[in-house]
Amino acid sequence: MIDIMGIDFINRVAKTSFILSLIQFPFTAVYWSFQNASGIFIGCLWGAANILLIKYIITGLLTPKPSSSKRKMLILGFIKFPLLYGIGFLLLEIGYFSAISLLIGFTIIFLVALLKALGIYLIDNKIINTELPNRYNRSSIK
Amino acid sequence: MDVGTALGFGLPLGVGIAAIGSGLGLGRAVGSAMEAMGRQPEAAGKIQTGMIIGAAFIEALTIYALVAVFVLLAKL
Repeated sequence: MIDIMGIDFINRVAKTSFILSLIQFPFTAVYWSFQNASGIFIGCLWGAANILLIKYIITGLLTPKPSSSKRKMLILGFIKFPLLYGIGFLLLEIGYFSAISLLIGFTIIFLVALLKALGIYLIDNKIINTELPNRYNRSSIK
Repeated sequence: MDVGTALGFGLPLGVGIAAIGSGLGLGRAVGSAMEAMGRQPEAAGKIQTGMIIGAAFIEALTIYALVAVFVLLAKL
């Protein structure tokens, strides 16, 4: 049985957010502005990188591994804390992307996580029926 | 006191309070998750996922505070 809320959930959330930010890009660029579209896209990449690095650091620290992974942890920690925040600071400081668009992009990943978790909850508790009607059910065909 | 001075005092104070709140929240969340994983090692995967998402949510709040400060700094 696949563990739907396992650690792979985070990878799926990051992937969905990335796809969502790609889909929004042309629409936002046309109806709002190119700067804001790219701001949302970069904000989403920032959020995805943030959550994926947290995942790698936590799973790396919690699972017992040989000492060679310590260097990897140090590198990941360096990327996560000074570098990622530094990039975020620079993005805001440069002022090319509006802070609002970066925030919208950064929030996409949390919305996706929330909606995915809500969907799993609704399906698990049978509030939403995902079974196919009888006419599509292969077992009912004789 | 004019608006500029008030913002000059308030903005760093606001980010500081956000960072303290975020630190306390993260500490509590991760501590509880570790405790839960110790009690139920078979559910470690699910607990880890919840903890990571929770940590990201808490961290995001501090980043929101930082961005709000940048937006308000532009008005100084």
